[in-house]
Amino acid sequence: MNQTRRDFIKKAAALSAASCVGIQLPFSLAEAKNADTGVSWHRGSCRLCGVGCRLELGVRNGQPIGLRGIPEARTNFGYLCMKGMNFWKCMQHPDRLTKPLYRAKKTDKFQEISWDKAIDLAADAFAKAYKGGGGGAVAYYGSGQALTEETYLFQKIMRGGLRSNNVEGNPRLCMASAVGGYQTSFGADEPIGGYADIEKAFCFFIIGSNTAEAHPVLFRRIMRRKLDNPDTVKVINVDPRISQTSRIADKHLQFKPGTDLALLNGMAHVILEEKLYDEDFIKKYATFHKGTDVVDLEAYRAQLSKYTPEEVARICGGVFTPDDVRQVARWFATSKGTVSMWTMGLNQRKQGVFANNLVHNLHILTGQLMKDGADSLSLTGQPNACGGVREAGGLCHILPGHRPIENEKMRNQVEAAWGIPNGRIPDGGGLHTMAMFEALNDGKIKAIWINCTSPAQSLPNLSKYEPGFKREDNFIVCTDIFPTLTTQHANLVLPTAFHFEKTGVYGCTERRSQLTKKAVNPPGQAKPEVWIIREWTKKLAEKLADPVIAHCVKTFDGLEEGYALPKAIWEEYTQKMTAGRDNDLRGATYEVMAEMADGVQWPAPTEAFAKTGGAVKKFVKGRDPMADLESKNDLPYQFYGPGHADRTLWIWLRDQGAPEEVPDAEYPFYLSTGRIVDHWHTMSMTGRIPELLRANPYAYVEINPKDAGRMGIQPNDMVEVKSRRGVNILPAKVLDGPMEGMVFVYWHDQHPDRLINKVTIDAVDAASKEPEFKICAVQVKRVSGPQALQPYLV
Amino acid sequence: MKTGIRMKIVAILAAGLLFSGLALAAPAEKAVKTAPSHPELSAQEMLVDCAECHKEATPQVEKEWYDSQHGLAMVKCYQCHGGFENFALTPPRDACAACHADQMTKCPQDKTCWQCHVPHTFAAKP
Repeated sequence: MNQTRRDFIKKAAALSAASCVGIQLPFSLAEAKNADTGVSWHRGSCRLCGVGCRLELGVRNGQPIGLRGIPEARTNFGYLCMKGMNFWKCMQHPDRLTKPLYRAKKTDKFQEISWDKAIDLAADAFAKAYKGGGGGAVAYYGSGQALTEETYLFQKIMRGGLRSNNVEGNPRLCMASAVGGYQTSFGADEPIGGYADIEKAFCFFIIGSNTAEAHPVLFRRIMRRKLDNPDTVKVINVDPRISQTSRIADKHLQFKPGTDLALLNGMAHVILEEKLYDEDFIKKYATFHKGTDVVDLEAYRAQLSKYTPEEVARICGGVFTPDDVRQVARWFATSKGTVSMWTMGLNQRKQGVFANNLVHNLHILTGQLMKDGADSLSLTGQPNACGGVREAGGLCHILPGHRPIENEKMRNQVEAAWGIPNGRIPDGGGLHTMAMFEALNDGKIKAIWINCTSPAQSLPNLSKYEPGFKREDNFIVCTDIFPTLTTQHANLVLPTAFHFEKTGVYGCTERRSQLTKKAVNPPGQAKPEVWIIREWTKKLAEKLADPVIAHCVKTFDGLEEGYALPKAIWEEYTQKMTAGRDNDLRGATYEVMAEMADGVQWPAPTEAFAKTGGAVKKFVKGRDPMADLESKNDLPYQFYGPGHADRTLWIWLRDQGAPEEVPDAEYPFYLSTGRIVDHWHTMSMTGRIPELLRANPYAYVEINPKDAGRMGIQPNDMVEVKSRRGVNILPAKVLDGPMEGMVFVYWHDQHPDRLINKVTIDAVDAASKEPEFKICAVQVKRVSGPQALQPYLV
Repeated sequence: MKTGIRMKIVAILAAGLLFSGLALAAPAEKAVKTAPSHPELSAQEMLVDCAECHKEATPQVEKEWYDSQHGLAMVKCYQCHGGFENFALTPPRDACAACHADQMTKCPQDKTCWQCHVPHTFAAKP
């Protein structure tokens, strides 16, 4: 494209200025919107985090000109964060990928090629790999940012067509432990309640989450609740790092990274000791479990006996007192409604599932569930990790509709619905994310499709996995909108349509599915992924002479890709895959969702129920139609989730366990990583929006003032952060954020010196296989005074 | 302009350039002209969050914002005032509308937001 980055900045600025002074005039004029301005407004969801804010894209003359919130949306009530306000600006960036690019060798330069050629090359590579090594030689690595229709169709072709369960996605890196926690504690993935609980809660227990920066609009709701009720609403923030979220906390507990399981058990200890638990609730709905054994309350009490507040304060590093443990336990248990929230601080851990279980334990123990204002609410990081990946079969161990892959009956249901032979879907063998990239290293995967994500930046312990990306005996296809560190390793880069340039559904944190319809055309030759998958599948069937592969997309053939094609895919998924499942979405048709300001919370088996907004509370008779349908007794709550045949909530006996790596004499500091408010993930989008880039142009290492003082580190000094795996050199921020003995680094930066995932560790949780990004041991030392740094984007 | 000079000094300090030998060796950057009310900054100087400079240059304004609901919720300067290329000293009504669309119809149509709300604290004027 002829447009330069500088031209783009000028143009974006001009458009912004216009939107400030005139384009949004409908707000300030009495006449109907759009009448005079030529601006049409198109409803959709935010492209970025997992909150699911609803907004409208303004379009004039076919070009996007701004975004505004939708006040009646139950997710955000009209509020937007800086990313939500500004993401439209990256849509016309000159760096957008607009033509298919190909190179035979990864050391060659890319050549522009036609779509026909690109589809043929992709099909050829996968056909050859499949012929040589079967389903184990091919892989799909997707994204919690792909539309549900895209994830569903990709996994259908991989499983039903190529007989491969090598279907994974980046939610393995962020939400897998939450999935494991929900399945093992409640018998069903995803939260029971949702955001509506915030305005009715009296205690917020925020652990391992910097909500203010990672989920700003949701944080605003918590903040509003606290500010409106300063004396009656309590906010507890539990995190080794003091963050923006801590600003509204009544109590912030800092602890030695990795010791929070002790704290959670300590709170349960206090709740039992002071008889703050809900005996009736436990008797009716809960059972106690240790490993494969069913135990009882007394066994649980005995297990907790060692987690006295005094012992917990000691284990956690002595930053808080035993009375602090008692206080937060009392607030949690006795409030009229407690909502817990967490993200990667619990999930990205070797003990991730156990940590999730221990939060759920507190809710089950105190009956802080099912009632308004109470929930154990895992906040999702990506806009469609729940809807697309967790619900539609985007991980190696699950089929669409929360069906476990190892269950033959479930596989047969899917095969029947797809009209493919029984036994076509393999009974396992799928590789989880880290194993998938190890297999790429080992030369076992010969063709991999990476969609809408950049594992060459987002995997932990990056240097270990780089050889796999660089091998010349595998073929890497990337579908994306911008160049990334991962497209740099690709053989074939396919340009895709961005949000609002195609149609599809995102499912956010609170089981809510929301439709975004195409509003503008994609640039150049960029195409929606659903078109790319369909055309690739047809060519693949031809090359492998396999009618079953062809059958997988037969009903979608010829449909227009902007709306009719994704609609048909959504209909197949919801009507055939979710019918009667706990995420029943049959009522959430495109037509129904298009009517809604926001969307539909499943289960929503009928259109009539979906039009009410769906199930605000899962498992509650009278509020969740599945609970009524599945009712086995007179009790108001029915736990019909697929994971627990006994239909109870499970309290788990889990002990404190150590992280994979803790500081020692050689590597004396803890390293943790995380988000900042202005950027999203690997910065390929937000780094191309001038306001966002400048607000946080590069990564810093945050250091506690006491540590900085000891090491002679001043603000902006260049500091080396080195682990057993890799090294970064970053400017320092000296502040009372991380606790003493800990440093914190933002993970968005693409620059090789500031790519913190070269330093992080790839140890995984034994159950969820989610890596422990949040904790490893590092050396920290000053290397120079301040240096002039520049933002870096590939 | 005293405030402007101070802001520029603070910006340079915050960018960590003043005592950096590397910075001296770097080629001179072309200054970018900004809004009339703001001192000219180099592209390097622009890589500093607005509030970082204004914490020293206009501490009262920064504190009012930091203690306000916008400060708590991390609604940053550029969300209302725009960036360097489209800076507006007084955010127009429509800048507020991106988040407060419902207030655009509920509030008096003939007034700016700042006739009723105190800038940076956002409290209603008595």
